Amino acid sequence: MLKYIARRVFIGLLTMLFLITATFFLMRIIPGSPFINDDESVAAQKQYAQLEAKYGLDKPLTEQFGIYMKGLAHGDLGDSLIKKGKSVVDIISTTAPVTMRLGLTAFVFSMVVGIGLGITAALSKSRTLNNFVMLLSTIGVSVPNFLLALFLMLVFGVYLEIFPTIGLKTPLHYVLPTIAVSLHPVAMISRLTRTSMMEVMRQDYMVLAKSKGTAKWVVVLKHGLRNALLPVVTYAGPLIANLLTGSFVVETLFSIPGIGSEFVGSVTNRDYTLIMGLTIFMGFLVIVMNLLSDVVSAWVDPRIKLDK
Amino acid sequence: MSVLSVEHLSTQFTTDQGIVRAVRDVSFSVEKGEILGIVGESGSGKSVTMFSIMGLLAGNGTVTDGRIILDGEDLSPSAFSSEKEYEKKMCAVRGNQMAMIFQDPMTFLNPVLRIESQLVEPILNHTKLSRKEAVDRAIELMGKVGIPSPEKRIKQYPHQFSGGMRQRIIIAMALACNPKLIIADEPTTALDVTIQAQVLELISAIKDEFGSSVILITHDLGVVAQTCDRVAIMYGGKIVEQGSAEDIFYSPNHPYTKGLLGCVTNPESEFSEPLHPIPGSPPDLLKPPAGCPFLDRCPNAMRVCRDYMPETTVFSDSHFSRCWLNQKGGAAG
Repeated sequence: MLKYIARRVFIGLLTMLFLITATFFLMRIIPGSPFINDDESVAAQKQYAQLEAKYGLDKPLTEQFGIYMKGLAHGDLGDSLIKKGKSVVDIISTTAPVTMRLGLTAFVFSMVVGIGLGITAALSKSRTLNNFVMLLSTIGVSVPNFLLALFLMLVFGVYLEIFPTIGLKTPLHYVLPTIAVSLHPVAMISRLTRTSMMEVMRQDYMVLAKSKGTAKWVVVLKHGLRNALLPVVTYAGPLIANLLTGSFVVETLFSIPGIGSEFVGSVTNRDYTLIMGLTIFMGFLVIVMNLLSDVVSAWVDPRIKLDK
Repeated sequence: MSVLSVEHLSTQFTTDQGIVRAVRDVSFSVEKGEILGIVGESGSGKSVTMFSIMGLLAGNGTVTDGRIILDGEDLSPSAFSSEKEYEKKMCAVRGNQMAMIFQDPMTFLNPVLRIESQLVEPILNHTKLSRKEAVDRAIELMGKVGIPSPEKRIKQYPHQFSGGMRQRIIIAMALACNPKLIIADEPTTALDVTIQAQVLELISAIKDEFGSSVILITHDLGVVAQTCDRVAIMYGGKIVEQGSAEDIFYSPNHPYTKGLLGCVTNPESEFSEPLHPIPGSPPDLLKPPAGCPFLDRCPNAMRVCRDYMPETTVFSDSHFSRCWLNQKGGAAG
């Protein structure tokens, strides 16, 4: 197991290196500059050149890459080019926790509701309930979250005035954004759980468990659920990485000062150091969460051999 | 008194194509300490009969008629006021008074649970033993069914065992609470021949040691000859002939039984005799024939067989058949 994790960490580092290199050069291919200016006067051009020189952007690209990597090796992600006096680390450490709180809430919500709905639908003979779950999952997969967010804000925030729609101050503030980001995962998880639970219910070992005099619900929970959850665990790894890196649209709509909106902002502003910092941060999360989900899969299903 | 007596049992399944009458008016009994073999080809209703007795039918299956009496206690679904009551009673009976050994050891063990947690389950369900005592009992059972170093192996998962070893574990589970009746549903079908012999010996030995009665379902007449005291031959959802092992092998009366015996090779024969398969296929139980189910394949079919279900002919206390030929005045009577 440890050997496997060590190998995965090594592969992860290689992936990170590739990600950093590719992002660095790709973002510089995009036309534009953090200091670009429509003013073509000589003075403006001179000022622009000075700024470029100050941040080392006038040097050859490969040399800039060398400098960046050297800084990175020392744990220095540099300063934001746009937000004066703020380091990239500062920006990540103030915005990431906000997004993570929302992301974790949404993750727990999606897992609980998705698995719950999936099991209920799989076990219930009621056509109505099954149709409801299938309808919900179709809607959840096809409705974009910004549309849902606007709809929720309008109905529950503006007309009914039950939930606040701006910021994340109190637990109540979490309700609408959580639902907005969770609908898609809830739909996916409930569908996955329903399908695999129905498959598991047909398995021979469920009959054997019943033949031992075990009560029906114990058979379902002890023998069925663990087998049925495997596809969900595989899905949960990328999902949590996705949720923790935030949604730009939802964060913007609910005025949440999270990392998702920083990411989009950094790209439109060509804030090179911030783009790099955020890419590294998110890439790291994705790699770690995928590794975690593989380890959990192996724990859920002992037939999965990680070492091979 | 019989350990199990089944009277006029009928079971059907509701499917999209219609109602499948898988078991039709089946009666038999199992005496204390004996092994009853139930023989028949696939789809003859052997397993469905057993699942009906255990109350383990799939959701679309129902017992429509008949009585199931285990050790004097009526366990027919119709004897209970509600399905919930029946299920509650059966939870107390299954794995305790009667237990089942299944066909395919590869698929009947839960792949994600340790043997320990699967093996202590019936013990914890039916006894007041603590978890630790249950584990000790489970280890003892594993030793009894011939699994080497059970203390170590109990911590392993099913995929770490061979097919024969898994079948031993399933047998150990069935034995856990010393059941009066063990139903073995084709326990050797999925195993190779050498392991088959070991498993059958194990079942016989266990029967003697635990004093249980066994119903052994099989389509292998060799297995029957080797292990069973009495035999029931099933065809098309009905028992067509029933008797002691000697009756069935030395004086078979039903054409189907004779046909089955004709399908067996004799390895000691000096000549390579051709096998005599029974031509045709079993009847469609969606529309079971009004007369004898074996009609279409029977070499001796008569007009009466088409329209009337054969009546039971009694040859001795234990030997019955259902064939018009066996009735008084019949050609073979």
